[in-house]
Amino acid sequence: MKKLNTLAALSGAALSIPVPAEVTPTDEVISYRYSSYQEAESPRERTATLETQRYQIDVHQLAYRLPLNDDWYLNADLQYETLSGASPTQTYKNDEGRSVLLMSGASIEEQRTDLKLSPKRYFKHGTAGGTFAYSTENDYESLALGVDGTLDIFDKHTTLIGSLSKSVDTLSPTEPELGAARQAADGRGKQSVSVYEGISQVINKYSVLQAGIGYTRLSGYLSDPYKFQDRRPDNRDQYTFSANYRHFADILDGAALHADARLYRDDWGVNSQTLEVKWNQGINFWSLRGIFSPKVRYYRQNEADFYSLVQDSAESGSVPEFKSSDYRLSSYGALSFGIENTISWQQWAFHLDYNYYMSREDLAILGGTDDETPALVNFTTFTLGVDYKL
Amino acid sequence: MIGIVSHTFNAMASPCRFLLQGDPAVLKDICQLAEQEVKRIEQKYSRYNPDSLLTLINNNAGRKPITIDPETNGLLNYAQQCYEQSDGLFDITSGILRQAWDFKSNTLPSQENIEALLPLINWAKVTWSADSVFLPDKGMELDFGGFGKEYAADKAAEVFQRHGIHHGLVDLGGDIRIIGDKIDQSGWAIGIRDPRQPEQAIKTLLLHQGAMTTSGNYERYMDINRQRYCHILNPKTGWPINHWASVSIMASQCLVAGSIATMAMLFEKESADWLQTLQVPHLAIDINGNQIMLTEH
Repeated sequence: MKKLNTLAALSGAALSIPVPAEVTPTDEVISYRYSSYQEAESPRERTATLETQRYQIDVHQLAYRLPLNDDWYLNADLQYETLSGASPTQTYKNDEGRSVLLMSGASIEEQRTDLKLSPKRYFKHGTAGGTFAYSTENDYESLALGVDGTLDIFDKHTTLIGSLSKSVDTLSPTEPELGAARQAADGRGKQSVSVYEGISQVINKYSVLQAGIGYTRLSGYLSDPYKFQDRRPDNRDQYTFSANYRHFADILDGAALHADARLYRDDWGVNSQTLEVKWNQGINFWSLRGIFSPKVRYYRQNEADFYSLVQDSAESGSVPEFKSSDYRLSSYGALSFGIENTISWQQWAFHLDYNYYMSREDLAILGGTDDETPALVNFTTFTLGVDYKL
Repeated sequence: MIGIVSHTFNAMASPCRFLLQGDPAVLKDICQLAEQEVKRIEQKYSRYNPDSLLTLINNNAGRKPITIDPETNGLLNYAQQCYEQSDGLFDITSGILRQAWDFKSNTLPSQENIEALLPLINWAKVTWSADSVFLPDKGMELDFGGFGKEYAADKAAEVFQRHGIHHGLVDLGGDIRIIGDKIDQSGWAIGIRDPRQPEQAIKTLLLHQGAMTTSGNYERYMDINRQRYCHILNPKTGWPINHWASVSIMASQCLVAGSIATMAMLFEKESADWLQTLQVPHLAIDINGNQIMLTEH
């Protein structure tokens, strides 16, 4: 009796129901993180003052994610940091050719507050988002605005990613009477413009590769007013190339390898390379789900063209136009090891992360110089966190 | 042995679950997306949700057309196919009969009650276009209960597939849609309930792909004077069908499998030949326990 083509008719009608737009997240999540960042003490034999204690930073983060309507989703983050300790003000070579580190007294006691709002709109084939960020501390104020978007093509196997952002910072160094540099920097600003273009490609059911290039132009007062004889150019052009690879493996209750590489260079002469490998292991036990992620990261860079530990001298008659002894502009390498742990139970997720970072001149391996960099830091971070889904 | 990640929740008045193989860190977020997709469909098309699009359409029966989106238009087109292919037995305006049939009461409705409702059942009178739908008579109702859950299972599976998840299944209250075979390609074992002892499987099949749904007389029913009155009602008479205890259908889409299973129940004894002609893999068990079966070739 019935038509032979029932199956075809129904299948055809079913297939022609249009796919609705990409699902906007509907979860309302509130989360809190506490992180403790503790720098190791500087080597006593290389400090000129008695101060060996470095920074201790405590960070409290509160995040709230909520759907605004069917298409819009908002991420809101509030972060409060307290920072205490001492920071190197200058490193130099003394008369015997040895590098010496001067620390500012343990007078630094700062608070910093960051607010970030990121609304995102979900479309059928992509997303469009914006970012507003405001940050303030007693000697610094920063405002950043950005837009970002993704576009899915080729049946969602390929995603194009783009972002553009701009930030404007204003400096107002504390205790300007302590130095001419602080006075010179007061009220000065710096700006940055960043652009990133990337592509994410599903290679097969187990692996995804993302690659991208970024460009950032910094301009304005880029020197550090708290360091002596710190004179840097007013512009800095930074270029990055990054590649991120994800590979999923069926080990225990699922695992994933994350391998990330990044190449960087800028027109101050700094080149750097970063390699990070992280293993995410999922394990289910009772009604809990655990994800344990050990990771290791290697970073190296060579020094900026104007990095120098030589003090300005009145006798030589000429002082170089640009000069900095900031360890972040020196040649060094860094290794860090860490583990991130997450345990989820019903609406709750608990986080415990640990990371150890060490940096040394000789870890640069290539392009190292004989210049010592006594200010290089080693630090440990602990993070405790909890998420609750409303 | 590869672990299976299970994600359970309740939706569409049914226990729902996703069974998956893969990276739990990745799966966790995608499970949320897929669960949200199921709940989105439920909220949009539930009769019981006072804010749903379907409630809006029904509340405006006999009054005015309601604007619809392409997805709803697609589902109405699908309902039209079901109506045509079943010679009017699969009719999404027949849900109104539940006003007469209360399966918890253990009493049969009066014939007058049923006959008062029959004039309101007539999909052919509903007018719809790409942009709007209009129920001409006050009291008419659309009910997507006949395929909403199956549709949601397909859509949830597509969320996983879109995010590159290829090993798993979606189970919405027994409507099964395979996302993709197990990693070792051993198939997902799906039990078919024994209509007489619904907690037991009468048969277990290994599914590698596609979907399977079962329509059964044991889901909502009352037994009066040793006669089974189940929730699958003939829209022309207003009375329950009474030939098959259950029909299970395999098809590539859950939506299609579900509609064919329901039609087979509605066609009663004629569906034995119909299912053979369609060449759709099936297992049909009549109320006396006789089975007819066609497996995948």
